Amino acid sequence: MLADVIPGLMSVLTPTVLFFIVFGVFVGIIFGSIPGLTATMAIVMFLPVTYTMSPIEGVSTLVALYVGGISGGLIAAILLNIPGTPSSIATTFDGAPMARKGQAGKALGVGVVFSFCGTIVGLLVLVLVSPLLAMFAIKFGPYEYCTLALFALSLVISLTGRDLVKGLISGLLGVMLATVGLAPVDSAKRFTFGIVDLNAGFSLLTLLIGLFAITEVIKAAEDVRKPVKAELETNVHIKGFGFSFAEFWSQKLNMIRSSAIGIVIGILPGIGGAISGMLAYTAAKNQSKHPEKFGTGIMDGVVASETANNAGIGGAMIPLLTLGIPGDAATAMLLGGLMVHQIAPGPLIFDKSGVEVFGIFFALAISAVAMLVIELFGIKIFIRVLKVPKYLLLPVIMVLCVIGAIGNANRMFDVWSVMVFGVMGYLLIKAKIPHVPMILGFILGPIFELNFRRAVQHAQIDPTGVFSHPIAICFFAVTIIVVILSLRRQRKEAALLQASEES
Amino acid sequence: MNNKRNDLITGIVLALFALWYFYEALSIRVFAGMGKAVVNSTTMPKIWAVCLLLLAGALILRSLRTPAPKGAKSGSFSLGAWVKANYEVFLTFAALFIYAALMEPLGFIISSILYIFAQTLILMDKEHRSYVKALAIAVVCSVASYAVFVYWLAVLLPVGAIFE
Repeated sequence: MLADVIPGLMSVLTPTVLFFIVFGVFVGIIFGSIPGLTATMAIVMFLPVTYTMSPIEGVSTLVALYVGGISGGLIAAILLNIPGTPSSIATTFDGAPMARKGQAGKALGVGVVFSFCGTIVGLLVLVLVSPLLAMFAIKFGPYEYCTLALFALSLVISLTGRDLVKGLISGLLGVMLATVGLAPVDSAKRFTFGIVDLNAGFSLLTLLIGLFAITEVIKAAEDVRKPVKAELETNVHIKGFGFSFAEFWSQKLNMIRSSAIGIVIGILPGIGGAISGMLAYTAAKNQSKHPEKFGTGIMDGVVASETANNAGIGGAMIPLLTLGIPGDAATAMLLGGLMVHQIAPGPLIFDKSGVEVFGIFFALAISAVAMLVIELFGIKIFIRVLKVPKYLLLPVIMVLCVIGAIGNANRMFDVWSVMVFGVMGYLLIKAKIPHVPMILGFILGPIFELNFRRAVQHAQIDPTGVFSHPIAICFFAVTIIVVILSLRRQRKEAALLQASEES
Repeated sequence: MNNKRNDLITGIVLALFALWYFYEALSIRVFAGMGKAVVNSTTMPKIWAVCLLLLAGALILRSLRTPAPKGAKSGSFSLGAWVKANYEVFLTFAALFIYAALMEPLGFIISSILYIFAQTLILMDKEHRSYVKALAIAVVCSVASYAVFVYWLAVLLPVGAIFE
């Protein structure tokens, strides 16, 4: 495996790959910084651009977009007091007050530098943990994968959103959508209604575009007649990093704690950056010597939120690469990108695509450096981009997404799927059903079914065989605990809600 | 629309969907060579359908149990009023579907020009509405993206039936 490190590095250190990384980070930051455009959309939009690239060029570009997209959110969070992406919600708490105090430059510097630190810490954990996890996961058979998929689904559903019933419904709808096409194991045609295009099932890409891109255009359409109240802070001066080394050093504990939170949340499927930033912010506040200053514009808050959301990148890539299970919509999109470039995620990834995996690690590191430099020195450009009205951006982005849908398999069917999923996404928003569990259900459903059927076949031959799979039993037990705990939490929250309504 | 009625409608729609899905799952042709397999291609869909039906039931029950919010209007829902309040949303969906429908006959470039032009106008608020700006962006972006994707990135895009 270590023999792949140097070729991996060399594969990234070519002028084309470096250019694509810088380009990807730049575009990613733009997508991250504009509220309503997200890292997921950046990856969706640029996936077709990577179709004809070599695997390492393509995947590096996507990784760069991801890093830029997650980090770019801090610009709008600080200068507009609107999170550019959901992952920088907690950055607004202290970032915006800092900007109002005339410390916009310092806030941006802190955000950018700690985004960089978070990314690097996340990357280190990714590099250390994923080979170990891959070695462990190589022992996984049908029993283990079946229970792992169940465990991942239960986590997603219990942790996304407040409404357990609606989370479950969303996950189930995703699972059901994934049953369209040929069945696993025996390739029976299911729900194809004689339509040839349906034999291959729906592609993940079309579902993501429909749920995340079309709904964004629709949201903009809903807001046309609503007056916007957002003041852009343009008085920004950054000297060096914007803050002193002593200030940096004083945040070391905060940084380590926030990175740890970000990584753990990143590894767990379905939670994503939004929550990790909030959790890290709350943890920093609770453990601070001066919790009362949080929210008034101190750097601790920005540090916590930005370190955590960027550390989540490395965390989220651990299960993505070694198990093929993405944690959120953006990594689901990366999974699509890996598949396009014939890199099969799973425990064998280090054996089969070792060079590419190390290439991805180095691409992540270079993206982090590029993000640091571009964001610190290019801040004026991004402030300008924030002034570009959305009505000019969204239609063009929509067209590029349609190109992505066509290019996926060269068929118009996918364009129609996108449109239909867009309508579905809008109806789901109206019904207050969250989108993310659906994506995870769509990916995990087939994994579960394939391995469930295999496991049952094993069990038919050897009914007691399941007891020789302690890992599977463990996953199953944890799944049950998670479900019980989340049910109890839901009850408590419902009771609290009722009490507050009655009073 | 209030939460109560929202959940009730959602629950009913989902329950109907689950029943239909279950019914369709019954007609899946199982591969005979599977022998005595306990679990075949119809098993999981049936289980999913039952789960969804139960959840839809839970949603319906929950909405029936929650008391109607005080002072909420119980007026009937009218499609006309909805379209009037959300005509930009309606127009956007219309534009998207027309775009998809025109793509094959007119080709990528012309259909994209029409779509971007229409969508930009839909999203522009009255103060900023400019037909020239919208048209310029539509033409430049459509032609440029076609050139980049077809000639540089080798992605096949519909040329248009009328040009063939």
